[in-house]
Amino acid sequence: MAYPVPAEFFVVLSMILFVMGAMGVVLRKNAILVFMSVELMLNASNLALVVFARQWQNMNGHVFVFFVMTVAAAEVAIGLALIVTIFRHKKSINIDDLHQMEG
Amino acid sequence: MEALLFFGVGGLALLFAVLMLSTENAVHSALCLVANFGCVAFIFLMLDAPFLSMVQIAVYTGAIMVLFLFVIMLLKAEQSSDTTTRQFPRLWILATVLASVLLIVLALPMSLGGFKLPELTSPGSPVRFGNASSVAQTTFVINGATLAEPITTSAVASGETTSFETLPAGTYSVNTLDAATNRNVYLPAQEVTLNGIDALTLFATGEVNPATGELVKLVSLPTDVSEAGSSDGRLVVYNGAAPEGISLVDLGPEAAVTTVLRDGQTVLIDPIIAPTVPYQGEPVIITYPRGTYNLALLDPAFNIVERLDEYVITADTETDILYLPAGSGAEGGRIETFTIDTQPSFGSPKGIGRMLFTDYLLPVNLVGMLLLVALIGVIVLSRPEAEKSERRSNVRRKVSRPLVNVISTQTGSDVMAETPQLPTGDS
Repeated sequence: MAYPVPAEFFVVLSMILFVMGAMGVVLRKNAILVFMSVELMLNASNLALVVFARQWQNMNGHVFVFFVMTVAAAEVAIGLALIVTIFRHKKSINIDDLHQMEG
Repeated sequence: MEALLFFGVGGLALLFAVLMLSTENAVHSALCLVANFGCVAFIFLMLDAPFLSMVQIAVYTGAIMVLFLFVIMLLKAEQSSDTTTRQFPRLWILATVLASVLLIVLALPMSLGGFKLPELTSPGSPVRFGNASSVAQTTFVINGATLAEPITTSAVASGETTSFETLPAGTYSVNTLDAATNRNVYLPAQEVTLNGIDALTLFATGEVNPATGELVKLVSLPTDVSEAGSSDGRLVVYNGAAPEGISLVDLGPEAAVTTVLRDGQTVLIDPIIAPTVPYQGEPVIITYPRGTYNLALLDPAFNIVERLDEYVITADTETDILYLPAGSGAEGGRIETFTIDTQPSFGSPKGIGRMLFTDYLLPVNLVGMLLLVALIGVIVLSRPEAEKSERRSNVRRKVSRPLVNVISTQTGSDVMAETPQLPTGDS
């Protein structure tokens, strides 16, 4: 069935959002902002899943998005707890200062 | 209109993403991301996913981003200036190059396909067969130009139907056989035309004429498995026995026909569910709220032809009600009902809920356990450090206490025991 806005437009939007999230991960110095860029990438992939679920009229895509959102919530909780713990020791969340494991 | 909405909201989402990446204040970044998630939730609404858009707003913006804001303010991260890193001053050039490479890699498959996604093609019409005749078991043989060999269904008992068979569009001939004797009970074979999209149910009706061995008719009723309404059931009423036409009427709790004399004419007060159903014509399709009703089939003179007392209409079902002639030369007719479950509408919470509780029950439980483990992990990670002060007070000092204070104020570190200790890595 033909929709007023073709599905390709939504997929291109999802791709651009994903690439922006990837750029945010590379460019930002604050660990929390890197984490937020990862959330943007997850959101872009959710958008792509929903677009294809509508294209093929298959609700498995929606269920997949549901699980991605749930796992992202769990991951955010743990990631932020880790950042808070690192801050307690290092007094800084600048990723340039977190190079203790390099050789 | 929809294109305008898409470009407006999509452009807004991109704008907020760019703002999120470029602004220095971390709180502003988080708020831009919240706005971006709101735009994406609106786009989900445009994509027939109402449940997911509400979950996006409730979980992503309402829980995850609020958590981010809490941590940003807890760590006072908005005060640190987030300029380019010390180690890579020209990082943004490399980042732009990598981003364009990534974009090209992502867009390459789509451009090879001409930037056009393939359309969903309907595999064919779903067709099922039912037995509403006096023959105990019937089988159906379908033959058509699009089939390599004739399809024979399994034996269908009286009052039962087969499952759906998907057939491409075309004209088919259907033979009805008695399963016991494997003899054709209706000659010639019936012609059925399928358009490849709509669903159809074919019922074998009537009784076997002992003289000629013929059934009356193969009746085809349209079948719609989409949702009727949130708490309604769909009824398909077919009249195969009353030449003057019948109507399906809800009699009410007293189970009797209620009429009044108005302007010299008898008017029926009870609600008519299905108005005049033509004899051996098109069936009447209606939706009715679920519940238990006293239904009846009335002829045009408001006499009860057939009763359906305490009839239960279930939500999310479609019921075919066939009024057929009674067998063996008796007067009147009989009613056969066939019920099928309908599919929930696309993107609805009912659809997702059904899938989560049937096909995806195990992943749901696993994700629940994952959340529980994450909760415990967060509690363990954010425990305050209590052992350090105790360790220090347990160490015996070989130097007198006033001298310890003098030394510690001058060197900046506490005076431990005499023997040197390996660094424990938590200073």
